[in-house]
Amino acid sequence: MEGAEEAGAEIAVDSKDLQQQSKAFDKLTDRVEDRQLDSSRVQSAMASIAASREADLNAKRLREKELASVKINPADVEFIVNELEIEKNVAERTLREHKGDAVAATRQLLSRYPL
Amino acid sequence: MADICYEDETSACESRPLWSSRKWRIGVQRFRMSPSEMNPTASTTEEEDKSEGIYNKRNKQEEYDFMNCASSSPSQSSPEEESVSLEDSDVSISDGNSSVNDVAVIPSKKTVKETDLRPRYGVASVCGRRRDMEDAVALHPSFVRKQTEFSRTRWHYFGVYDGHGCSHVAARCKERLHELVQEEALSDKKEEWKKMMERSFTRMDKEVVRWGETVMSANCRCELQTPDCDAVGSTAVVSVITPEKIIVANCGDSRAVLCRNGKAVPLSTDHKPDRPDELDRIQEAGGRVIYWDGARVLGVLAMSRAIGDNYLKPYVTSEPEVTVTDRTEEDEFLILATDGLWDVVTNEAACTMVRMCLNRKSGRGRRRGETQTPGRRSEEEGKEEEEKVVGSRKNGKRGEITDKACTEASVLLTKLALAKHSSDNVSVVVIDLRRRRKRHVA
Repeated sequence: MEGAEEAGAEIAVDSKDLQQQSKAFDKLTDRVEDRQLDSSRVQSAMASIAASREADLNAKRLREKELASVKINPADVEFIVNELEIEKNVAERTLREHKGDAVAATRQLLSRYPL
Repeated sequence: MADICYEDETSACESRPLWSSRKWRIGVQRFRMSPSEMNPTASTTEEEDKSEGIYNKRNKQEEYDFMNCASSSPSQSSPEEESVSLEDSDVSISDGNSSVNDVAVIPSKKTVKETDLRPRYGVASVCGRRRDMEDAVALHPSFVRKQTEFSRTRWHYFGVYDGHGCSHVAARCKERLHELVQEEALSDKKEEWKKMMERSFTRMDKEVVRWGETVMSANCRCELQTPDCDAVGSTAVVSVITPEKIIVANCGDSRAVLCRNGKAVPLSTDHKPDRPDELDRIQEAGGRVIYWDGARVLGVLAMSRAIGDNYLKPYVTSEPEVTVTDRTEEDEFLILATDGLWDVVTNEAACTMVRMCLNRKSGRGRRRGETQTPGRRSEEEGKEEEEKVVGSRKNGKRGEITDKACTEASVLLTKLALAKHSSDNVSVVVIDLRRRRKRHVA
């Protein structure tokens, strides 16, 4: 009986030691498996990013052109600047966004007041 | 007297709402009148609470100077309009005579058609940055129907009342003043507007005083804080619109402004204590005007005429200033509003804003879809747009659209007043005076 107990303990100790040894070996070596980069994927991703940015810029330019082409009444701009005490460029942009409709622009600029 | 003034000032300071504090919500009460209701009743509901202390208003000397300039320049621009009497009372008397002559003239068929139409109007009334709502608005289209052997005439009543101290005087005016005017109009055959209005206002003032003495309603909080109601009063600007004339009776510092050919014509002048003639009248009566956060009668009341205010009589009278204006084709709309609007918005700005709204709707009636195109709007306005579209689809009448235009104009004016940090209740009534004959021709 005494010999059997000693044998079990030795087996357990051996297995733990083995695990610890394997972990230590893993930490010592910093080997990483090689992974080859897919250059075609990279190129397509970069191309799509550039394309989307280009599209955004084009959309912005189109929007600016559309807004610039909207005719606004200088009297309306002056009225909004004077009465609502808003900067001129903000007033002009709001008027352009609402296609020169002074009432709609005024309503939006006053929309933070509940009524 | 010094103690009384000191106490009033202390309570006035306490009752002054702070813009930075968010405790008091901006009370919103909007009133939409459907055109189908010819005689709307009691549409205005306000809180019958008393604000602590005496009514406190912002007074601007610039506004007063501007009023003088505004009243003088229209008379110069239109010298032929002798009927526009803002300062000379003799002209209104002659107007009375001329109106008698007009009654005798046989009207044409077009006149008969015109007289039957009801003016479009819009109302907006908000509590703003005060604790209690003390304004009241009275709208009574076709409140007097006069029949002669030639034609059938309808008169329309619009009134704005701005209470101070408590709201029961303004509420009482809302309920009774148009009935008094109606009685005077039906009993008087000569149509002397000045006397009719003065009698109506005097009777209203006496009724308010009697009501304050006898009826002790539990809803009024002024009863719980002060032993009497003598410190409560109300301004009143009243407009009666007939097919031929616009009659404006003003008592206090609310205002009526007519837009004629794109220009703002004030039909009433504010009764401020520092107005030269008002100052003379108060001093001759034995009172005194003390400048305390603005000119005040006895340092208490920031206006020189009001309905009620029993303990300030005879310095504060209820005699209205009546103007009778002939209607012309160039009349576009009429704005009645309390000083919560006029303290922060000029007459020209208000007229420009309302003109934009009315011309926009009538000019682009066919392009409703474009109104919905801009998508940058808050959810509330989106809902408003939906309601408008649904309403217009259901009825499909042009009058409906124009009524909504008037309501929209009044709402925008109210928002403009709030945006400019008006510190008072704001009540606005916009009345479209354009003849529909033009629209039929177009």
